[in-house]
Amino acid sequence: MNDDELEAWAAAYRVARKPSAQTRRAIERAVRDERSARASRTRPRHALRWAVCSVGLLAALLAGLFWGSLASERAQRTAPEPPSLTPDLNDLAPPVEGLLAEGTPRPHTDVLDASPGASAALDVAPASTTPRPRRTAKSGSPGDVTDEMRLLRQAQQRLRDDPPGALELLRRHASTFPHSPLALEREALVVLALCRSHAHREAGRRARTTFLRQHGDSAYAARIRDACDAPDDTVMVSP
Amino acid sequence: MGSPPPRRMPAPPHALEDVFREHFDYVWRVARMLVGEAMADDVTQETFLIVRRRLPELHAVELRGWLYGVTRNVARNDLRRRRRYRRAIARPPDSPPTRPPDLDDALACREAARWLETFVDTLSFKLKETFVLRYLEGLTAREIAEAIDVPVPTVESRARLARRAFEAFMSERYAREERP
Repeated sequence: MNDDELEAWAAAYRVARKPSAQTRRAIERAVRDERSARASRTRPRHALRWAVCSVGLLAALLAGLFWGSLASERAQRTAPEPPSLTPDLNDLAPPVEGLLAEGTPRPHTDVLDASPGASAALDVAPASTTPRPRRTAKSGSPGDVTDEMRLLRQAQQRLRDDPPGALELLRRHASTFPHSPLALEREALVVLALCRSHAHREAGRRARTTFLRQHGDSAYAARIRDACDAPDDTVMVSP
Repeated sequence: MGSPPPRRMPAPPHALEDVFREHFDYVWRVARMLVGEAMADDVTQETFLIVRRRLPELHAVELRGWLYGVTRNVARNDLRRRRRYRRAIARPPDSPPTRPPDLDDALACREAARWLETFVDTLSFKLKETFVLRYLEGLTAREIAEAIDVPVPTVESRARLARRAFEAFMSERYAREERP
């Protein structure tokens, strides 16, 4: 690909990705009006926020004391079975980075390996003092985690009969949810899918090595350890 | 003895209107690439709020690089506040355009943009910002080096890596398309 061709792609990108005139006007107006708006709005907001936080903390403290004393009293009387707060969360662990740097074929390596780096890089960038956003948040919906789970479950269901299909779903998950809290789950499933795919079994072994080196103490380690060597019907991870 | 003469501040070389006119699209695109479409407006607005406050100090600053640094910091803070970083871009069509699109063809341009965004999402953050600034926004290696505070050879090296990755990305998809 020569420079002209790449520039043509970039030009198409710049044509396609232009903010609307309405957006531009709204932001320009907001920035121009910022000084007066800031003086009249931010102080009451801060005061209100502090008041709410203080009341909330006080209430939480009192509630904690009350429930703590109540629970200890009950424990002394009846000694009931303690409820499990994390019924299925052993399978849902925090994200990992660079899992398949050595073992995965390129299409999967690119997606799964690179995206978490974005947040890492952003996290270490130098701090700046910026005002709070003045517009309402538009991202984030409660259905996202459900969507993620659904995608991972579909991938898991395909592990047995259609490992390439499972890998495709996992790749889609990685590109759609690059900073997913279920990333470790995804990476474990990728190793299993590679191990189950005859074409990628060797890559699966390398991925398994990488996984165990980085996450040998994770909940998946035991299952991943046997992944590429086990008969096909014994490998199982439940999202 | 009279009072000292008032210090005369030099007029800022950049007027807010000029910055808006010349760089608004650039800032919005960079914000969009960093945080996704849903949050791009917020990040752009915060960036220009900072621009407005800092304008008197911006005498000899190379503006595009400085704007990128501000946008990146705003994006980072915004992401940290929201804790989660999600981009809900539509999945691009299965077959990529086989050649750069005609700029008059809006649909083709949008498809090309979606392919580029899909590719950029596969890069590490360092390669991502270098690819976006160097190849999509046309900054020089020196401008990028100043913006992200790394040596020029590092920028050039990252640019080469990112470009190779882009070529591999496209080749792979062409090959996939041709496969029976």
